[in-house]
Amino acid sequence: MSEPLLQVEALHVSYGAVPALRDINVSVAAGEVVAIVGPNGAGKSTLLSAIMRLVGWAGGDVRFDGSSLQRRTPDTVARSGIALVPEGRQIFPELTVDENLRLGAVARARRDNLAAAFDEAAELFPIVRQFRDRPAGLLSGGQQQQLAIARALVADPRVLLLDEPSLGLAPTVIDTVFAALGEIRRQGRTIVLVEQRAQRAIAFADRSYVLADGQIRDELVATDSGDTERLRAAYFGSASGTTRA
Amino acid sequence: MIWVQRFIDAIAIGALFALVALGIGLVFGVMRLVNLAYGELMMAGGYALFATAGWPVLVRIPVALAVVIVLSLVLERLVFRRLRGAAPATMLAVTFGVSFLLRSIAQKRWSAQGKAMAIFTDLNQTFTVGSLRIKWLTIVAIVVSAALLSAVQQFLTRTDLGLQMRAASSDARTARALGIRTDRVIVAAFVIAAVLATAALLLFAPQRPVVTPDYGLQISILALVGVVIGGMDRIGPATLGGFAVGFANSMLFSLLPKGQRIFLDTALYGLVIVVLLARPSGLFQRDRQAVRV
Repeated sequence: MSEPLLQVEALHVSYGAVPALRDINVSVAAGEVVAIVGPNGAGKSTLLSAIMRLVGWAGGDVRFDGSSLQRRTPDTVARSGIALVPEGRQIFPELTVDENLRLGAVARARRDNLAAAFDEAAELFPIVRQFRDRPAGLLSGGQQQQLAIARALVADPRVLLLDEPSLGLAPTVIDTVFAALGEIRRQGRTIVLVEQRAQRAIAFADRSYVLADGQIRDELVATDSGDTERLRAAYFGSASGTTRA
Repeated sequence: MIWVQRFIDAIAIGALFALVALGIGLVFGVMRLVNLAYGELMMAGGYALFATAGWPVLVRIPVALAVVIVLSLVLERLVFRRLRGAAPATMLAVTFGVSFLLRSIAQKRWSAQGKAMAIFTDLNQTFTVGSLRIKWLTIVAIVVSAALLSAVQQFLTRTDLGLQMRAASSDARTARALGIRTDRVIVAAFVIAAVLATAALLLFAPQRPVVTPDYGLQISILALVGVVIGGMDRIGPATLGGFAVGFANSMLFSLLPKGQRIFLDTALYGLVIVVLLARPSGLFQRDRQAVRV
């Protein structure tokens, strides 16, 4: 059996004495869409930050394409082919839309075909072409989210980590974002999606992990998205829902 | 006409302070480090000019530049790099310590007595335009400062490294997650800051041709005040703040009666307090809430 593209192995993360993630095991195959859902404060964003090496590990490992990320720094993780779309977008507000996109290209393994990469991003998110010379801070929240995803795509990542892409967006904008994610998935890109809109994320993903209180509580497939009892159990930790697949 | 002359002089002084403020602002942007030892870079360059007195100018300038750049990079590598992520108070205390240490070393090596490091003294000569008597140094300071500020602006906006520097200044964590090598960006900021310190030294030296251990202290403190009143978070406003302080310093000097010039600092810092009370986030800072929709 081939090794997963991204493998989180017995990962522990602490903030001081407070454990944030405990014994996390997650595997993501190439081309797969995996969702991480769970309540507020469960550790979902911390997991993505840990994969990017933006926070230190207290134990365990993350392997990407067979190599440990133990000794990597965030910039080398990004350059190895993992792109993060951070929570709250984190676009650079005083830089133009075009400049934000150019920063996405920093992590590209190949510097040629940049124009084609920008065109692909603009095809998916026309606002990046429409407002290319506008300071990114003047875009609406939904437009900033689109820019953040477009910027990550310009890096041509093998794995795209998305942290709460629907956070704070109007329902119609969320539909736009998920439609774009569907297109990105059709391109065969591997996606790890952290979302609080659990049912929508589970239905969208191939597999989902439920994270609560820093631990994996359950693993689900798309058809489980309507099983609210199981979800509730996983979220709130009743005995019936604490299975680990 | 006297006011036109004062205005031109104030622009020249403002431009010099803008150079120093830009150097401080660049390093603060990428590291959140208020480098209180920035003035000591100018001091080190001053002693390099003293050590090479009598050599051709075309040799003295590169030597001074090299000394300042090397000192800047050594401080970055040995001290400041270890402070990344430290509390602002810790960084401030350490840079104060470095500043004090460097001045003490200079005092031990060359004593507190001033050393002549004259360069470009011809620039103190004047020319007349109507009733105006303008020093060549004033014109050179304005032209060179404008050229350097413009060059840094071009670097920041037209090059990949400059763009990465602006991104790292805005949000270092996100910049790293995008693959930006922040080590490289920080080193570049320290090199540019050192070049600006050398330029400021060479433009100050004709009017203050004697180097002492505290040569750069007052200039850097005033420029730092300028950075604060301009707005520390962004390079442009910080530079404008430096210009504003230099300009105000020169104009206040002209405005105060000769017997009252002892109160120049009092007047200047009084003005700074008023500005900061009115605009605590900076005189040239945009309302961040309005920008971050």
